[in-house]
Amino acid sequence: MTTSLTDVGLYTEGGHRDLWAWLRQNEPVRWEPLPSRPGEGFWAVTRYADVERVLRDSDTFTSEQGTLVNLLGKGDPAAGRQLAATDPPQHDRLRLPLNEALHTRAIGSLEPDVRAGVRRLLEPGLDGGPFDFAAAMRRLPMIAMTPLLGLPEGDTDELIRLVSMCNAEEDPDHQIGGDVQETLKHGHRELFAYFTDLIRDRRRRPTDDVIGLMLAARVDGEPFSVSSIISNCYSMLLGASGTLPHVPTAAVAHLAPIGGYRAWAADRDQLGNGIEEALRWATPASNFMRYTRRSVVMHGVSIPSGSPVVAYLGSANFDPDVFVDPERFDVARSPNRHLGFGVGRHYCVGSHLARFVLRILFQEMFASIDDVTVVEPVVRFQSTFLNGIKQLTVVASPTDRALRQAGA
Amino acid sequence: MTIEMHAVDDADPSSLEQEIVSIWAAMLELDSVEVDEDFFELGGDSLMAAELQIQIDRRFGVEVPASVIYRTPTIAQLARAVRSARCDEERSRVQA
Repeated sequence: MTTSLTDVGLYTEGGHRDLWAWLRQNEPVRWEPLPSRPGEGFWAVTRYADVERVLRDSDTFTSEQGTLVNLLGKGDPAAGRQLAATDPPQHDRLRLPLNEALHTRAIGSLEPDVRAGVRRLLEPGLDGGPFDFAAAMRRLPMIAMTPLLGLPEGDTDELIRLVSMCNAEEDPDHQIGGDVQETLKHGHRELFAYFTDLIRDRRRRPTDDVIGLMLAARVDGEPFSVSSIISNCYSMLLGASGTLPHVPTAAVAHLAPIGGYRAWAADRDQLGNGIEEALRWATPASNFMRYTRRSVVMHGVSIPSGSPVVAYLGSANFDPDVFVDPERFDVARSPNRHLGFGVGRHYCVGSHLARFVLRILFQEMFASIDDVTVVEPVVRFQSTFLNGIKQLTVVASPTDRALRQAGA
Repeated sequence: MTIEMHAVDDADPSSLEQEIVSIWAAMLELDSVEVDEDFFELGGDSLMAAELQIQIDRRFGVEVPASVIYRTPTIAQLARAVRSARCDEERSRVQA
């Protein structure tokens, strides 16, 4: 199969899953040349066991030279300073305050805000008219990030716009002058400017949100540098905004046409398992890059030291060696050792928060929407990194309870 | 005292620029920098820009919006923003 993993059209059409399946079967370690940079490329691994090994073994596969394919050959300026681009032991020190903030604080105190926010998102869909579920879900992460980071409510729209430039820079909808690099640069610098101003302000007026926690944190007696706090805010916002919306959209787009939404909504016992299955099915961050620190042999292929290796989590999550009948969305699947949040030291720091928000979202959806019909062709994002849907126009059938509340 | 210092800057408009030149040169590990060169083209990155901003806050005692360094990353523009922030501060001090 000659199709390239770097071909954005493949992902837009949804053909990437076929290519992943072919690679898992026939070419588990493949050299993928970069069309934009002659002579350069990366090693692609697509089987579950190999993806897991690359992500777990940070002694062999380092994160400190960039973890995103679009940084290939450029190095990552955040190397060693930002969670995702840092190896242990520095990684574990950086992660500590974030971990604490995103585990304990987030869960309890955000619930009323998140539930009210979710109801506001779903409400326009309860009138029986066409409703872009994907557009509504793009606002979902900000419902949690706004109180978590203590962001002003009025900034939400602008932040969503900037985040889209950084996360889906290949998509013409967000581009500046049709230029990918210019779009990335603009989104990235504006977000940095935003957080630089915000954090300077918070140093004068401390708050008890996650930013306040990072500012107050000391590791071995030393505070975090302002730039590392900015960088972590940036990656938290991008991490949440670029990924979370794609979990419910992928689930609804797949389940609705086959009667699966109605069935899941009626089976409350499967809320948790179904969410895990939606995470497996969606795998929004479909790949991450590492660099070899020594030469490695995988499946008889010799990978030299200092080479980029890209682990396709999206492919691993459909590996039939690990998942029975992987092409079936099974809301009762258990066990479900999916890699939707990654694996190893870099396991998504926001996983608790994501599960918490998804739980509230699906509780509220099942309480207010019996069934969903997809009424227009689904439009996928143009991205070789983020696996997701841009437009999902649906008509929802409200539950009796939702109708009573609307009538009241 | 502040007003006197400001007068010195006005008399010698390049001194503020010179101070920023030395901050940039140290950060970018360069011998010299022209006032209209682009911070990012000289090898600066977004994290260094944030650190630069903090150093400027500290050195000049005023805060300029971070959009200046990220949108118009030259010493000339930064110096202009620092002057304007000082003017604003003086004005508010006089009013207070």
